[in-house]
Parts: sequence; C-alpha cells; structure tokens
Amino acid sequence: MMGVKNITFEKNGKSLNIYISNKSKILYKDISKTIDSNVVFKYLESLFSIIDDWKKEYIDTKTIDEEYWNLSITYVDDSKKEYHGKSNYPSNFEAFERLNQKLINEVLNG
Amino acid sequence: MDKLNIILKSLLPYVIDAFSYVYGEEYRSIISSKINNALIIPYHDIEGLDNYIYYLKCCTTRKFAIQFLEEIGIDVQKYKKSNYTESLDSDIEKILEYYIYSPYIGFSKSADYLAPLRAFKDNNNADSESLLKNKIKIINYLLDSEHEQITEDNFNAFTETKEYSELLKKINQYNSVYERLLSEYNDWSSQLLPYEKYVEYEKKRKERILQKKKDEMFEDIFSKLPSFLKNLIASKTLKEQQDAILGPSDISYTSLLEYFKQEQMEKIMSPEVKSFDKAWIVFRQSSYLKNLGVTIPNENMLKCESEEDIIKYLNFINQDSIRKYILSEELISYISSTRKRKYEEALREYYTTRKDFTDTIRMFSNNSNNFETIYNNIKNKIVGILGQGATNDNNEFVSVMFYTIRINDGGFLFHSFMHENGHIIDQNPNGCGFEQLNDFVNDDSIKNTYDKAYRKYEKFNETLNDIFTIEAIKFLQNKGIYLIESEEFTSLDASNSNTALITKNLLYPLIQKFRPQVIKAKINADPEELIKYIGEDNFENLVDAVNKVDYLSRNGVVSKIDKSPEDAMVLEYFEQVERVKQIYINIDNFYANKFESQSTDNNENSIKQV
Repeated sequence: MMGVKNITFEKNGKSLNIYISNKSKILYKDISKTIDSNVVFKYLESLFSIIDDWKKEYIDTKTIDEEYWNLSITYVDDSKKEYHGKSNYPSNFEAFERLNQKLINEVLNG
Repeated sequence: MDKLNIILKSLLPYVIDAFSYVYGEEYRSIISSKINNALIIPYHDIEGLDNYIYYLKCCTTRKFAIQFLEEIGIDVQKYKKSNYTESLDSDIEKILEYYIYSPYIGFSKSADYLAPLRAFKDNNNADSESLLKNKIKIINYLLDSEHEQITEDNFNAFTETKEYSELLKKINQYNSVYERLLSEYNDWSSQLLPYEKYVEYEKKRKERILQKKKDEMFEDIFSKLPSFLKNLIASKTLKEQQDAILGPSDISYTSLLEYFKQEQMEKIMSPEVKSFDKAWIVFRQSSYLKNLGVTIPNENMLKCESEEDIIKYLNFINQDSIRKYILSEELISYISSTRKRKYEEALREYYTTRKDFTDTIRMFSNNSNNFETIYNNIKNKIVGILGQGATNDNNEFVSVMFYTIRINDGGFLFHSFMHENGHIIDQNPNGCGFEQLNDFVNDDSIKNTYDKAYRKYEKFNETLNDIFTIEAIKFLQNKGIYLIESEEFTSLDASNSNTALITKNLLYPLIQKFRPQVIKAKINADPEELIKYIGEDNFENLVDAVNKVDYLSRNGVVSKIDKSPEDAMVLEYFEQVERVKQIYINIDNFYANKFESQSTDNNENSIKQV
C-alpha cells in the first residue's frame, strides 16, 4: 500500500510492528491481528503527515537516563527510512504517540 | 489499582533500607539524606497511562483465561505462573482462540464479534455472519476429528441433530464458567474506570486546545487567501473550509497546502527521490485540489510509477486553470510557520494548565528557567534525574527526579523507580557516579566511541547502577515488598532492563573484587576512589569494553550469540569477553604491585579482605 511494506517503532525495548500487504497485520504485545486496509491507509496517511519534516536523529546527551526510540519504515523495494533519538524528540512526537495509541485502541476495540 | 496515584514519597523508607543493605549500613545516613532531600516529581504521561491500563488488563485477562481453561477441565498446570506479565505460551493461545479468541479480546467489548463462545449468547450484538462463523469454529473444534466438518451449508441441518444438543449442553456449561469469570473480570476492571475517564478527559482537553488553535490559525490565514479561493469556500461551514484548505487533521500534522511548498515540488521532480515518496506528496496535493472541486483527469498518474506519470501530473497542475488554486510560496511558508507556532502554543497551553504541572511549578522558585525545564521534561515525558541537580532553601544541593509511567513501562515501574533512586544516591555537585558534572552540561563532553549519542562513561555508570538496583530490588522482594506495582504486575526478570545482561556480566568480576571501592567511588561521584586501586588504563579499557558490548547488544548481538556463532558481531562480542578477562588480569597485577607489596595489616586502603 503506497509502497510501504513494514513499519516498526521501538521504544523502551518494546516494539509496535505493522506488516502491510493484502492482509495487513499489527503485532504489539498481546495483539496479533489483521487490520483493515482502510485503517492501514489512514494510519500511513497520518504517519507521513506527522514525520514529514523529521530529521533522522534527535539526541540529548545532558540527561542522566536515556530513553531510546527508533522508527523504521521499510518500503516494498526493501529500502528503509529510519528515525531515532535518545531522550530527545521531534516537536510533534506526541502526535505520533497519540496516533499509535489510537491505532492500538481501535484494533483492540474492534 | 490505587497504586497508580500512590505518593512516591511514601515509598522512600523502603528505598533507603534497600540501598543501605546493598551499599552497607555505614552509608545509611548519606543515602537517607540524599533520598529524603530529593525533589521527586510524579506527573502523568496520558498516552503512557492509556498504554499502562492496557498492560494491566493484559496481565489480568491472561490470568482469567488460564482459570477459564482450568475450570472447563483442560490441563493447564504447566502454564500456571505466579504472575502473567508475559504473553501466554503459544499452545495455550491456540486453544483459547477456539473458545474466547484471545485473553484480551475474550474479556473485552470485541468478544461479541470474535469470541466463539459468545456466539451462543442471546444478548450478542454481533452481525449474523460473525455469529455463524464463530459457532462453526467452536463446534468443529469440539467435535471428534473424524466427524464431518460443519460448514455454513450444513450448519442448519446439524443443529437438528442429537449430537448438536449434546454439544450445546457442553457449550452452555463452558459459557456459564465464562460468564462468571467475565463478571469477576468486569468487577476488577471497574476500578480502572476513574483512570480511563481521566485519560479520555485529558485527550479531549488536548483535542479542544488543538482545535482552538487551528481555528485561530484559520481565521488568520483566511483573510490572506486570494478572493477566488475565499469565494469558492464561502458557502461551506467553518469545519468544511478548514478541512478543504488544511485537511481534517489537527495542527500537529503537515497541512495539505504545505505539500505545494517549493521543497516538496523539488522532491517530485528529483530523480533521487523514490516514487513512493513522490506518490505521497502528490496524493496530498490532489486531496487539496479535490477538496476544492477540481477533477483529476487521470488518477493513474498520481501513483508516480513512471517518469511519464510525473510529467503528466506536473503538466496538469501547471495549467492556469489549476495553478489558480495553488497559493504563492510566500503564503504557503507563512501558513507553515504559523501552524508550527500555533501547535507549540497549543502544547504549551495544554501542559502548563494541567494540575500535575501547576503542582510541580509550586515546588520551585518562580523563574522562567525553572518553568521551561519543567515544561520540557513533562512534555518530553522524561523519567530521569536532572544532570545539574538543584539547590534547596538551605542552599544545599538536591537531586531532581521526574517520574511518570511511559508507554511500554508496564512491569518495570519498580525497577525504573529504584534505578532513578540509585542515581540520586550517586549524585552530588561534582557529578553522578562515574560521570562528572561537565559531562552533563557541556555539549562537547567526551562521547562514547561507538555511539556519539552517549557520553563516554554513561554506559559504565548505568550498568553499575542497574546491577546494584537489581540487588536492592531483590532485597525488598525477598521480604515480599513490591513498590508501585504489586507482585502480579511486576516483571520478574529485570536482568535486561535498561542495560543488557551481557554488559552487566562484564562488570560482575569488578564488583566481586572491588565492591567497597566501586561503592565509595559511586556514592562520592569520585571515580578516583576506584581508579587508584585498578589503574587508570585498566579503568579506561574496561569502560571501552562496556561501551562496545553495550553497542553490540543494542544492535542485536544477543539473539545471534547461540544461533549465528560466525556472525561478525558475535565474534566481536567474544573478542571483547576475552579482552575483559585480560583487563581483570591486568587489574590484579596492578593491585598486587601497588598494594600487596605494602604491609596490608594496618592499611586503611587495603582490600585484602575481598
């Protein structure tokens, strides 16, 4: 769908995976469920509007504890786009977390 | 569940006891003073809380699912656990699929549509197609494998048989167990309702603020739109006007119009940019044009699959009849910068009016620096200690801890809270543990050779802190004490939490041989207290090996150690293990040369006892 094969978001050692095909699937903790292509399309549309001007790296080395995150988008030709950070985030990262939590809730609640 | 809003301060006596046991009673006074004086700031991460509620439900539904299987007579003895923080075994998941679909779904609102047993309940809201599918699913599972498979075609005929009546009796018995457990689960989950309501309230409050700022922004830009566009959308409602020009999303998203910026147009024309990326830009641009009533003559060109598609598309939007819909670069840039400014205003309004923020502000002197620090830490959902600390009313140095439940933190709250307290114990005006103050405050501090995102001594410090934190946690757990999360929700294996076990393993020999020296150096934030016993070169080499193995662990070496022994990362890992063995030999030699040649009987620096 629109050239994307897989989305992986990792934070705190846990990952959210979305495999995109005719039968798209979400994997997150206890969720392993196929998702409707319209839901995937809406997710991708929102995702690309959020990450539109993200840089590849967001690093803060001044905090004692780190929180590492990584977003990886794999395209159908196996090329990848990656964004990562340590205790630092793009200005609209909260929108990205809202989007993911909304998808998880949608999938859970049918 | 009342643990979610527990006052962290009330847990501090346990923290002091645990670390005094681990570091030695001689440190109790200093530990107590640092922990009790620290400013501990609990705050909410709304998405984190939402995610944590899901975590609690997952753990509990797994427990109920196992109980369900046991009560209907399935042998689940080997799958019963003291807690259910991890997913159930896949064999059990497969069995559950035929009864309740999955632990979480089986006890959720989706059960009507997905749980096969629910299909036999009268008050089911699902469509008849789902109900039939679910009935057939469980019937075929319960029937003897020799039996003819039930399908949509023969289902009605089967329901007339005696066999079906017998099966239905069994299903009804299972359903009565299921219903009872569902009711128990609902009783349990009702205590989560206030938190769920709070999450919903805050989500809606944020949405309202974002919409208010979008309204303000639209009012501003509407006046700047060309008359032609204003007239075109004049008859629409405000929401329709906003959707047409900016798109339906809130202002955290790039608006539709912004996809006509020069840099986006250059991407469409660039041979370096992939067709997928071009297609996304063109998709947004075409959405904008369609919103304004423009007909796209050839939808295929929007896929940008060939150079020809792109030329066709560019020719299309460059026609005068289409160009008039596209705003000037100057106006698009203005809209873009206004959106970003309004979004930041919205976030600032949202966070700074939340009760946890205003409560925190009252703990500090009223100045803009404190305000910004608190705002940024809460906005960025930081769990950690401020590198530079703070000063209290008595002009004493104190640590500042920000603490919240973030996404994916479930099961590790005890660990993360204790870990942060470990840092508080290590912090003083000079630095924190093996890191000096300059390491935190200077952008040009020395970095980790293998990953510039980390400070040079950061991973060494973190790994030691994790090792001692795990000891402190075990001390409390052995007494049956669990902090923040009860035992049933606490992950029992924190060996890979924060830092990997293979990295920790590199430092266990150091702690075994030089425990008092490591602790003294840590608590006084004075690495020299260790270095003088092990030698500077050996210390630096050990730090370097830790950095390397940590880097390998974060790049996937752990899963390859057993499976791919010839993998370059695995070979590198074992080289580091051998290197560390040699470092410990060098440390022994250094110590022997420096101290064992001296009389140790009356030497206060002696570590002969270790």
